[in-house]
Amino acid sequence: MNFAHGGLFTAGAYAGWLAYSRTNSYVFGILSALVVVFVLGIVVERVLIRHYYARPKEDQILVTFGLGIVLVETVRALFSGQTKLVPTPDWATGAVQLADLVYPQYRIDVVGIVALTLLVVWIIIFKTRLGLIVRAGIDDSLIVEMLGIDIGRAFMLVFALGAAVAGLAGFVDAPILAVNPDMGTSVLVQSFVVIVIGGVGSFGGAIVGGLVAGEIVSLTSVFAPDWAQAALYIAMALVLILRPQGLLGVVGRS
Amino acid sequence: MILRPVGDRTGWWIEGALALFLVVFPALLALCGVGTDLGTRILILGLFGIGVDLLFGYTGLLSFGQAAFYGTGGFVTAHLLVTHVIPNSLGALAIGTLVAALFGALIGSLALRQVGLYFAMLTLAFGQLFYFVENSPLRAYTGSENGLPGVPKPSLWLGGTTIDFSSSVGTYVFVAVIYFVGFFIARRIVRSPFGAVLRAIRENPERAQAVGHLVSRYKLVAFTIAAAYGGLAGGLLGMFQGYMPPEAFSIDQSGEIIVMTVIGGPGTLIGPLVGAAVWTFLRQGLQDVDVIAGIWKLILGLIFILLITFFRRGLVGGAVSLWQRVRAAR
Amino acid sequence: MSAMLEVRDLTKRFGGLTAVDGVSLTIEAGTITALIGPNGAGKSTFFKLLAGEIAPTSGDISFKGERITGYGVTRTCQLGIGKSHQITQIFPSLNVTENLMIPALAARRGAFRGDMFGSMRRVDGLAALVEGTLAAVGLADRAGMRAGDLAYGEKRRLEIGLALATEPELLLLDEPAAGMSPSETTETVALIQHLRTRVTIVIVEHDMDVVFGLADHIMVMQNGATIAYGTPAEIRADERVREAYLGGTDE
Repeated sequence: MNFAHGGLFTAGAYAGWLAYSRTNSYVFGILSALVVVFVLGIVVERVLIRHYYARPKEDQILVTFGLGIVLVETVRALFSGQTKLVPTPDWATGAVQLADLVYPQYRIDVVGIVALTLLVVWIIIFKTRLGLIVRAGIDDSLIVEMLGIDIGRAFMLVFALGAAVAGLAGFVDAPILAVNPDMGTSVLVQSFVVIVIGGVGSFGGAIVGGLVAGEIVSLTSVFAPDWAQAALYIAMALVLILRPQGLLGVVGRS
Repeated sequence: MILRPVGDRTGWWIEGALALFLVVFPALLALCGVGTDLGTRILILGLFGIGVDLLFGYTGLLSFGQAAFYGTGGFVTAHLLVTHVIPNSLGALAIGTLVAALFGALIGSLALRQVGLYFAMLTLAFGQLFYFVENSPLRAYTGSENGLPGVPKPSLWLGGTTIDFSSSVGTYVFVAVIYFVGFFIARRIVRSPFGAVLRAIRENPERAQAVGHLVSRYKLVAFTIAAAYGGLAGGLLGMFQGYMPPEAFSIDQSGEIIVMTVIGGPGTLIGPLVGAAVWTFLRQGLQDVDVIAGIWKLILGLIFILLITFFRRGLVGGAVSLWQRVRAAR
Repeated sequence: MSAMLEVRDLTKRFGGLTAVDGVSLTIEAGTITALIGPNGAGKSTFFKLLAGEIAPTSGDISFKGERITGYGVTRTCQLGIGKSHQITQIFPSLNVTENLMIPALAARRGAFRGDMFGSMRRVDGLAALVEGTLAAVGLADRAGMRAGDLAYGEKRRLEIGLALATEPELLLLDEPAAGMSPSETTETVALIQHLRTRVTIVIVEHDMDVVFGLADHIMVMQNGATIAYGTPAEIRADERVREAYLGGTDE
């Protein structure tokens, strides 16, 4: 959870675009996005983030926020502010008929990619030793260290993993969104809203939140288009008033 | 035993120094080959920042949605003036500020249900809510992407006569006086018992709660005050530009004021003014240098990260620390 | 003498764990009660319940005849129960005087007052309370020092001072002598003796010399429940207590 999320998303989109535009391979694009942002995550964690674990939450937020700005501006400096195009890959163009609805093929594929990614991440966090270390470390890092486990390395890997996922999302989203330096901002905020709606501190909550959020925006686009964007935030406010821990959230995790 | 204000060892000379500075600022700007308008813009941002500093520097609440109040105050004031509902400059400002404060209380009561990271996220999201509502459903009132043009320059109605502040210097004076009053009030607040509790909340909110303070209400009041400052600054922006821009609600604006406050120095009240000056001059200055024109924001971002990491107290805070160390060494 | 504090059947469960199990206790005004027991006996949790930091699963707490169960930490403190913590929780970047001003402001102004334009001078009795507390905990000569820079023993005294400056009628001291040298411990004991004329005290301690030297009554806890209650002499002679400390193994 950090404010550089949007910047990593953007970096991933550009890394993927760079690879895709050179090789015309969607797969290379994905690999590029994953690897580049993963490495970026490692570097950032080593150089900057790890000095902040002992500092107050607000400082952590500020530094990741600053990082987000630096990432976006670096991208802008390297690639100019012009929108880059990432076309939908050939195997995913066209549309699919689902009952009465005609739905773009690519978007369905995105759902698949997202589901696969979520599964991988879930496995890593809940089924591997690394994930266990990190989950324990969030609860009580001192004890984990005392058990002789290198928690620093674990945190670093998980940070880089989170970054890589953001980067992947950036490239996967590229055919749908326009690739430009400012693409990450709205994603950053929307991801926060999803967490609030779905539930603070809950993996399943993030998924549910995402689905609910998507539905809210879609439905209001149809019935009250003016309010489509705002509706998401109104829903968030409602959740806060009526059920502050979110739909699937755990009470008391602030 | 004389009990001094908590965390504050300065006296009234700060206000005096500020007054002096405000008077010579236009001259200083002229020396740099820059117009008075730039100074006015810096003051407006500085005023916005006073609220943010009270919220973050003193109470420890990091909000990324303050633009919501900047925009709200700005548009309410602008609208009242443009439609001649309240043709009075100060009157319109007062109402814009009040409306912003009311929204501050409303949003605060919701966002403050969380702390730390989730509070910051919520303020970010609420900021976006205001932006989208302003942009779409309310576009009849706000002009949507085009903003609200035709906002009259400030004027002061004194019974028989009206003092016109429409010139560059005139607007500067109008804004500077309001800035000074805003600063003065903020100083009173931080030196009061109320201010002492805010400081305690920043340091150790659980202990402040445990020794008998109703922390949630203090936080809410601080949030409301910050919203009021934002609204006042927004109102001034509209008058200054003759036009109220929708960017005032933007997420970038919320981020910028945080950057300015942190660079200048949180917990100093004057920090945001310094930060705004640095931001504005760097932007102006770097854009003239061809080679690095496009990366002024990148440079500022790097400065921002450097400062948080090594000089957490910002430019002003760092200078104050240095001064104190020099004095102690004597 | 009416009972200052009455605890009835207080229970706290955390999921499957019963940290406090049906504890009842009566505390008379002007006394010093010590709470002892092996680690994990539930003493800290019990203290948290008394201070209002957590709410009980069942049972009641009454303070001066008023039912305060579930009141929360701020309200409990305002009613007159102050707590000094086992882990020092001060305001590190404020100086000692300022640290003491914070609870004093709550004691003299109430839980909230919007006095944004007020001044310290106009808070009734603030200076006297701060000065008195500084003297009581022996930190008058450190008044201007940054709290984060104090020596450990001094920080512990400030910790007690913070609780004291809330003008409590009942003072909860959670291991006040934790981590102290013998001389510091003696000073702390003297401090507590001094305080007994002003406040009713409940103290959690592991140092038996301190406990037996100070307490009028001792309550012994084990596995969340009370296993003995009485005067120091009675407790010293109690078989169950001996077992708990010497023979018992953790479950």
